[in-house]
Amino acid sequence: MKITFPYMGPVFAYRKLFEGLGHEVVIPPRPSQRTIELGIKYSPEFICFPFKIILGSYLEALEQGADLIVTTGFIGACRAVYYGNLSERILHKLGFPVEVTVFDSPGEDLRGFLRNCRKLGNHTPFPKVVRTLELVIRLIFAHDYYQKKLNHLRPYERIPGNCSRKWIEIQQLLDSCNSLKELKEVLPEANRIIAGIPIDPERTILKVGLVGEIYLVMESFANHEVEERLAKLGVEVVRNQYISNWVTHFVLPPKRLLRQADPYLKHSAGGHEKENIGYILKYRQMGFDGIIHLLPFGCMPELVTQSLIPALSANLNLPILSLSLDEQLGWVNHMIRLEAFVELLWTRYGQAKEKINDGKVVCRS
Amino acid sequence: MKQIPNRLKVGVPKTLFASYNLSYWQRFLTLSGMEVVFSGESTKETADRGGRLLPHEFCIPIKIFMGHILDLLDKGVDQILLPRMTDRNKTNFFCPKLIGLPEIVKFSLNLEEKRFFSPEVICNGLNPKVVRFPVTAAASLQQMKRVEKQALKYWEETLDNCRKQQITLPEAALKTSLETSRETALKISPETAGRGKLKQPEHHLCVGLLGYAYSLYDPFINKGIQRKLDKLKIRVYTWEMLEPETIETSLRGLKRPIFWNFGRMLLGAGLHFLKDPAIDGIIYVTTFGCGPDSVAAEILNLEAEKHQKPFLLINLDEHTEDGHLFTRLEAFADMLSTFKEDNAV
Repeated sequence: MKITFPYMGPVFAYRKLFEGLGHEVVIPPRPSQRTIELGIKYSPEFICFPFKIILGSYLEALEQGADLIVTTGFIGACRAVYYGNLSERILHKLGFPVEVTVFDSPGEDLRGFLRNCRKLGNHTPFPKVVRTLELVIRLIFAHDYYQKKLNHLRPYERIPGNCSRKWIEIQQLLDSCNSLKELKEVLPEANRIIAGIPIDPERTILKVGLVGEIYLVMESFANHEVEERLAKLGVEVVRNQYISNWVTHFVLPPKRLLRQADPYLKHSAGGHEKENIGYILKYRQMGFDGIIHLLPFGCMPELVTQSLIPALSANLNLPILSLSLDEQLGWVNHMIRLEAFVELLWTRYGQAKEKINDGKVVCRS
Repeated sequence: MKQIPNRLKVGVPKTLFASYNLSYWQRFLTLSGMEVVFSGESTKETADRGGRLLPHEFCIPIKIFMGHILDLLDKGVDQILLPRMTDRNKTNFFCPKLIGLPEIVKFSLNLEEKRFFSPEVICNGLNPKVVRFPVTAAASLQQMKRVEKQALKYWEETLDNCRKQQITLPEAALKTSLETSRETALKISPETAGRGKLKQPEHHLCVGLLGYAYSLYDPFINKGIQRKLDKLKIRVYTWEMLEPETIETSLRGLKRPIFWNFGRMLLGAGLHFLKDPAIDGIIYVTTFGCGPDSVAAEILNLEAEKHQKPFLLINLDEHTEDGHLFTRLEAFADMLSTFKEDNAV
């Protein structure tokens, strides 16, 4: 069976997982305009944007001969829990004899989880499964670690686009290792690459937190490389939505973070809205200059956050820009809003400086 | 009717949750010794005023709901009924917007917490159940618990009426309220009840009409869809006319049932209608930007294709023009008649 999966986060790590279990894998291509167009064509009109992208990438993977889709499900109030089921129905209607295996949380449906595990396990010896899993988890964490690091360095880079190029190199490096031993050898190399990026540490930059719906925040093609665009404007973007973070929070829910969000939202609405509010509060404590909130058009849980944002912004005295994205590929309107937002942040930054310097105007740059 | 001057005035917005079990909440609050004030009917102005308070992507029902809250605040109520719909039941959820409703209202209107009367509620789609009562001076906890049971019984009777007499929820509420004493009588105008009269004219087509109570029975959103169907001589069947067991049975065939409880009822009813040979077609009424419906209606649409049953999805918004609606319904009715004749031969 040829396995494929949704395009999200470190896809090469998922490939290693399934190859380790002895399956053939079709990696879905990085979503492009064609992917999105395919997705829109066959999705329900008002379903959220990530579903459209994922359906499009399934269709592209199926063209390459995949016949088993592996995805996650869970049970909750967000529409994401029906992605697997709904895409299976749509693909069947289109005439693809594809099978969709949905992994629910073992706490919710233990039997189904074990059944799926046995099916995908493919009679692989247990020690090998453990070794593969360890490698994959370490790869995911390494991937996210370097991405975080590059996001931190990007606004300081002397040669524009250098970080993004190095990022591709690092991904290739990580992709090349097939065992833990190789991973260990590769890590110093990756560190060397990052140390080799020429930076200007004297530069004054702004710090902005990126929160919102996990798929849009994580996937650069879906949010039109918002991190790189902001870095060009001299803004460092910090986010906490990574696959590694998702795994950690799945095993150990961030209780303290969620408790901090209680005054604003008492009950979780099914998505990451409480976590996002918690992060907004945390970023405020860390002294960030502003927050950018991304949501797909019509996202149910994030709309709840969006309706709380005016109050949050006023209470915290923190500028928050909420951008609702959809399949529109024109980005100019969002870019203008982003530029205006960054301008506002610079003004605030200058005013804060003036206050510190007893009202004397201090030239920046 | 004697008015006690310092009774707590509680406002009930006549939309969203209350358009399902209005009689339940009205009973519950009246018997707890509070004065119940209803918001007015939804109008264009209600939707506009409410919509201004929210991000523009919100669905129309929530915008109208905000308008109703503003209306109640204008009427000078002490507290507003705003149940906190929890997800304690692990396979039955409300839409995220309903779960976060108290916070949305609180922060977009900048109101204090004490202006809300917020019992914590769970619901299996049909029967609401209060799991935590708010502290109030008007009634003791014991009293509220007792009263809640009475209200639930009354609500179940209303639903029972729907099933026995095959009538819709507002019609049943109107009927029950006519039978009860004037003091607790619901003030439901004939327009709200949809058809205005309970007598059924001749019908030659039967259609399953699906939609959330707050959009299907709200005269502002539905644009008189029931009257229009009546005009086309179409008999309408809705989810409240089915036994809950029927709905659950038809849902069992799904690999993954819908977890939103109102959507679950609709999907279950829709799947039953698909298998029912007496039903000629299905009309699904949804509102612009409804999240659960984008999934539920699509599943039903795909199933309808498998069962070869005509399916019409109507997406309504705050436009007040309704000519297109009649044209679409007429075309659908024509198609159904042709379909029926062809199959009869």
